[in-house]
Amino acid sequence: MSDDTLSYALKLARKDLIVELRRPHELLSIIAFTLSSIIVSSFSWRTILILDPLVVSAAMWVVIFFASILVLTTSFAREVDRGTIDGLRSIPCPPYAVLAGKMIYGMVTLVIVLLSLIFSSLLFLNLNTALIPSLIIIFTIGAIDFALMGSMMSAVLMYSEGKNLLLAFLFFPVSVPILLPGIQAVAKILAGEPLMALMPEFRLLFAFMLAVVAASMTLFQEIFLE
Amino acid sequence: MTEIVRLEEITKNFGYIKALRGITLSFTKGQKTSLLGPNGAGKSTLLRIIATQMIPSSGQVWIMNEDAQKNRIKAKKNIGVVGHRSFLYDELTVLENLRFFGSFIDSKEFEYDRVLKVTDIEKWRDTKSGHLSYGLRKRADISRALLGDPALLLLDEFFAGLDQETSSALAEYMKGLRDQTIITTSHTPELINSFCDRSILIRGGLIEKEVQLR
Repeated sequence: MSDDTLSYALKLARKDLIVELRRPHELLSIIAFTLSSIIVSSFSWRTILILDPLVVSAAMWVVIFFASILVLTTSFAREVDRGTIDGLRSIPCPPYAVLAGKMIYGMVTLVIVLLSLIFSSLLFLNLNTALIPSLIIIFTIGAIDFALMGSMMSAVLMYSEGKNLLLAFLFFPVSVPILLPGIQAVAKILAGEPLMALMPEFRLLFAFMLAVVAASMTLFQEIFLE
Repeated sequence: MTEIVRLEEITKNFGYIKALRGITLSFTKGQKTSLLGPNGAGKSTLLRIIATQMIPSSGQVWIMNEDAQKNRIKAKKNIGVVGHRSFLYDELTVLENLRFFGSFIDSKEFEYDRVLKVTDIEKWRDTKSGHLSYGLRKRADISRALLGDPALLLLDEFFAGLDQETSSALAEYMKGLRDQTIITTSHTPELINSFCDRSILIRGGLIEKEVQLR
């Protein structure tokens, strides 16, 4: 990505973040969903003496997964619904800068959500604070993967009649390459394994990231320019 | 006269529907052209192809003597588009919207003042676009399209949804834009033709009639 493209993408992402922060009810509702999911989980797990790391990991990824759907369904759909998509098309920048802008916006929003997830997990699931840096690394990679894939899917489906429903349904099968290694990796962290033990999962997550970036660079122009 | 846009045998198919069936046209500097025709005639499709927002099925588009499909970014820098719906973001003020769109063509601060003045919307510069009336929003949208002083202005269904008073005022603004080549679509020729000097009737994806108005 050239410097110009990155600068265009950052301008677009900044615009989306300002728009999002001026109508904060959506972001706040996603954070509220994250907090309540973890609190509800803590109610049932309070009686269990030793939590299975795989179960806790899966619960955390379910929250990230649903938050991703909520964040990413709106990214292109809102532009289409408001008629501003043609404004984006009129901007003199490469089409993939628009996609990159949406991806950066999705990543930043998901990182905010995952920080609230980790914070609430600390409080309600008694997470060991020493695990936080490793969790942040793996969840951030997962959030980047979700943002890349979700933004592209949101673009593909932006003109569909039931785009929100379709995205919710189609998001799951294409998320499996993120969820499987992600759940394993977080379970390993919760079980106290070192970061080096997560290399197979990191490789899978990075490979998926590269595949989505390659597909996006190839396909997005055709999707975006009708 | 300097040629700003040249279209060569443009066709556009949507599946089995032929929206455009070989349009060849040219537009010179300062020329103001109205594209008229019934719904589904292909006017908006043609406008979107000129705006490089849509890829034609065949044919070539030349903007300022450059192949617009090959040099889309350069072409877009010379084009201002006003759509039927506003491109402005409700949550941003008029000025913030201008700064956002202007940042892609390196507009300077004085240019925002200039375009706000053209459409007489200076006193609403700090108002969120979502709080503006339809007419004011349209004027703000024209200001956005005028950023960078584009050689070509494309106006899609320009007067749709506007009351008579606002429409007449906007037609006056358009008359005042001497240097811009304007291509506009409409169902209603009366107002559009008050500032256009050429009118083209499109029907079934073909040019049916071309009239010099003045």
